[in-house]
Amino acid sequence: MPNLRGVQFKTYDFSKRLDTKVDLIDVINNTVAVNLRNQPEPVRWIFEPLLQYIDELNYLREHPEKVVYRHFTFAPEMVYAMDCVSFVPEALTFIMPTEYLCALVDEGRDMGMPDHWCGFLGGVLAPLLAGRLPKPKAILHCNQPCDNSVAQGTVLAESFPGTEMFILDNPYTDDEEGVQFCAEQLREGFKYLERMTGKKLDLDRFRQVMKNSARAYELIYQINEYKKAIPCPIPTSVILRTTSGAFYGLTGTEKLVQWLEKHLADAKMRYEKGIGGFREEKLRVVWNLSWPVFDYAVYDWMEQAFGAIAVAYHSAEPFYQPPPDLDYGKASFEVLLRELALRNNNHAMGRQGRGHMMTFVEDSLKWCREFKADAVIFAGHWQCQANWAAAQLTKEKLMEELGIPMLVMVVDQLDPRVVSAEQMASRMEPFLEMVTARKEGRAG
Amino acid sequence: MKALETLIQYGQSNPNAAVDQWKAAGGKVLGYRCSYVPIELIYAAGALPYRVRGAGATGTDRADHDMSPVCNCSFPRAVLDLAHRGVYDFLDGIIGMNECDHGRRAFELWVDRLQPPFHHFVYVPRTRKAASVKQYAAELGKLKASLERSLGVEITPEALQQSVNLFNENRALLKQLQEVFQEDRPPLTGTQRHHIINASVSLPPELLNQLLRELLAELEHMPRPEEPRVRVMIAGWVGDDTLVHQAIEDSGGLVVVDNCCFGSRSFWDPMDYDPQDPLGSLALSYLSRLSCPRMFATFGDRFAMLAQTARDYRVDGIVHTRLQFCDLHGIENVFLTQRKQQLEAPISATLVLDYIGQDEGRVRTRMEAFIEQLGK
Repeated sequence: MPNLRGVQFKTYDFSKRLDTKVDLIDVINNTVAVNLRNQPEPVRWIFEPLLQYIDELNYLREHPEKVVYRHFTFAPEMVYAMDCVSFVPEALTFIMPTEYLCALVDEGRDMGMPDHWCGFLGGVLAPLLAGRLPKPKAILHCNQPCDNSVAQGTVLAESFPGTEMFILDNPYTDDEEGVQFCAEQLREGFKYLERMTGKKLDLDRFRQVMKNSARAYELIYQINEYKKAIPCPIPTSVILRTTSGAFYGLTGTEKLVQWLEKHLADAKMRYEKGIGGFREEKLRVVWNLSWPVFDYAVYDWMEQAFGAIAVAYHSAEPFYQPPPDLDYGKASFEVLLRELALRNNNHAMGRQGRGHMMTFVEDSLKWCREFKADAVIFAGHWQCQANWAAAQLTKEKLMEELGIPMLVMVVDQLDPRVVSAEQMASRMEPFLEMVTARKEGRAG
Repeated sequence: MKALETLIQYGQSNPNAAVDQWKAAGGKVLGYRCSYVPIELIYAAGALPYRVRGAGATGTDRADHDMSPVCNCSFPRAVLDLAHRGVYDFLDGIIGMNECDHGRRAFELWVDRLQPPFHHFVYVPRTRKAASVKQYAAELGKLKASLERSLGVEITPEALQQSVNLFNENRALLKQLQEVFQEDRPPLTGTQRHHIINASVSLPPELLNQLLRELLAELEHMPRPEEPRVRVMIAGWVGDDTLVHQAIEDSGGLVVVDNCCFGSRSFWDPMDYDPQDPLGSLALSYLSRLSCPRMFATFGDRFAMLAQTARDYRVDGIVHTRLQFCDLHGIENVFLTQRKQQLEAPISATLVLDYIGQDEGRVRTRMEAFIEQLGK
C-alpha cells in the first residue's frame, strides 16, 4: 500500500515571523547559494545556472548602471544584446528559502495585496514597494501570461515613478500579424533601452546573443528528444527547475550553452546505456501548468510508491520549435528582430497564457503524445486563472483523443501553506492507484 | 409609464421588451462582453449591440463545470451559466475580447460549448502607444469585415459617423443625468441611476436618447427629498448588480457618483471620429478614455479622476469594491491605501464581492458600519 514511509518531507516553522526587511540577495547568498555550492561533485553541475544567476544578482549590486528589470516572460536576449544584466524580481521568489517567501507574501497581504495572489508574484510586492530591491535603469515589462502581469506593471510604475517603462503588448495570435506586431514593438524597445542606458546597440553583439540563444534552443530540443525514450534518461524533477529557470533567465548567454552541452552529453550517455532515474519507471507522468518546487520529496514519493516518473512539464520548457537555420554572423537587424519576436511569442507560459485556450490544450496533447504519457497532473497554480479555465477542456481532450486521464488539483508552486507536499501526495494517491490499475489491465 | 419607470424596468430585465420588439421587427442582436468593444461598429452594421450581463442568474453550476470556480471570477461564470441555460439564445452572435483572463476564457468557452451562430474575438491592446493603437485599428477593421460578411451589409463611413453621433449623445445625456447628483438633494437614488446605466447597454440608442431626454425633463419637476443624505462614491467593480448601491442607500447613504465599469467609465468620455481615419480615431478614442485597470499603469489617471469627482460631488466617503479573484482591481487597493491621505473623503477597506449576492448580509453589515463611521 503506497504511503509516505521512507520519504522525508520538509518541515517548516511558520510560528515565528521572519524579518523581511533584510537584503534578500544576502539571504540567498547565505542560504541557497551555500547549499548549492556544497552539493556533491557528481550533481553540482546541475545547479550551475542557478549559481550563475545568483552571481549576476551580486554583480548588478556593484553595477547599478546595468540593471534592467525584465518580466520573466520577456525574452532576455534583448537585455544581453545591450550588454546589461537582467533582473527578474519574481525570480527571487523562485530561489529564496521558503520561509522567507511566505513571510514576504504575508507582508504583501498586510499592504493590501489580494489574498488570492500567488507566491511567485505576491512574494515580491512588498520588497518592491518598500524600495528594498535594486533601482532599475530601465524596465521591460509585458502583459503575458496573466492579468497579474498587468497588475505587476502597476506595482512597478508605483514603485519607480521616475523610471519610464517599456511595455510590450503581447499579441493574442501566433500568426504573421502577431509576429510583426511584436517585432515592431521590440524595435521601439531597443530604442528605449538605448535612451535609458545611454548605449548604442552593437549589432555584432546582438548577433552573438541570438546565435547563443538559437544554440540553446537547439540543445534543449535535442535533450528533449532523448527524454522521450523509455525509460526516460533525465527524470524531470530537480533538473527541471534548473532547466526552466535557466531558460527564463539566461537565454542568449554563452554559459547557458556550455551548461546545456553538458546536459545533452549526460542525456546521451544515459540514453545509450539505457539508464533511467533512481527507480524503475512504471508510469510516465506529464505535469501540466505548474509543478511545485518547495519540496521535491513529493516527486520521490511518486517514484517510490508508484514508479511514477515525471517526464515533462508543458508550461516551463520553451522548446516548441526547432531553431531556425540562420547565418547569425551576417543576419540583419530586421531578421534578428523578427526571430526575437518569434521566440518571445513562444516563450514558455506566455505562449499558453496570452492567446486562445486551445494553445494550452493542444500543447498538452502534443507533450503527452510525444512523451508517451500514462497520466497528467494538472497542478493548478492557484492564480493562473486563464489556464484554470482551460483545465476541464484539456481533461476532456486528453481522454477523448489519447485516452489519458488527468488529475486536477490546486497548488501554489512556492507556498506550501496553500497545499503542502503531503496533501498533494494524498490527492495524487488514488489517482495514481487508478492509473496503475488501468495500465496493468486491472481496471477500465 | 414615465421614462424613469420604463428605464428601470429595462435595466432590470435581461433581455428586455425593447429587444423583443427589435427582434420581432427582424432585427439582429449581437452580444458583447466589455465596454472596450466598439458598439458603434455593430450598430452601423444594422445590429443592436447588447452587453451580456449576469442579471437573472441564480447560480453558476453549469458554468462551473467548464470554468473552474477555484480561482475564476463569478461574474463571467454567471454570464456563461445564463448562456448555458438558454437566456442568451435570442442573440444572433457574440463578440468577445481580452478584457481580463476570466472574461476572455468565458467567451472562448461560450463559443466552444454553445457554438453561437456568429462569434468574433477582438484583441484589444493594453497600452496607448502608437503600435498598439495601430494594431487595435487593424482589429476594428477585422471586426468590420466580419460584421459585413455575417450580416450581408456594408458599413459605410456615413453609417459609422451616424452611429458614433448616436452613442455620443447617449453618453452626453447619461453625463447630464450624472450631473443631477451634484445637487444637495437629488431627486433620484444611486440605485435607480445604476438600473438606468444597465438599461443603457441594452437598448437601441435612439430609444435610449428619447427616454433619457424625457427623464431629464421629468427630473426638473420631481420632488426632492427633505433631508440630504450621506454622499457616497463607489470605486472599483460592482458590475450590473445593485446590491452595494441598495445596501448603502438602505443605510442612510446616497451613491452620488462612481468610478466603475457599469457606470461612469462607460459614458464619461465621448468617442472621437475622424472621417479621414475612422477606425484609427475610434481605436485611439477607446484606448484613451477613462480607463479600466486592464490598461497598463493607468492607476494614476483613475486616481486623479477619483479625487476630482469626489471633490466635485462633495463626497463624504468612498466605497472601494472588487470581485473575488480580480487581479486588476485587486491591486488598486494597495495604492489607494498608500494614497488615501490625498483624498478629501475617507475610503473604505476593499469590499470583496461575489456576484449574485449570496452574501448579502455581510455586504449590508459592512455598508451600515461604513455609513455609521462617516458620522452624519
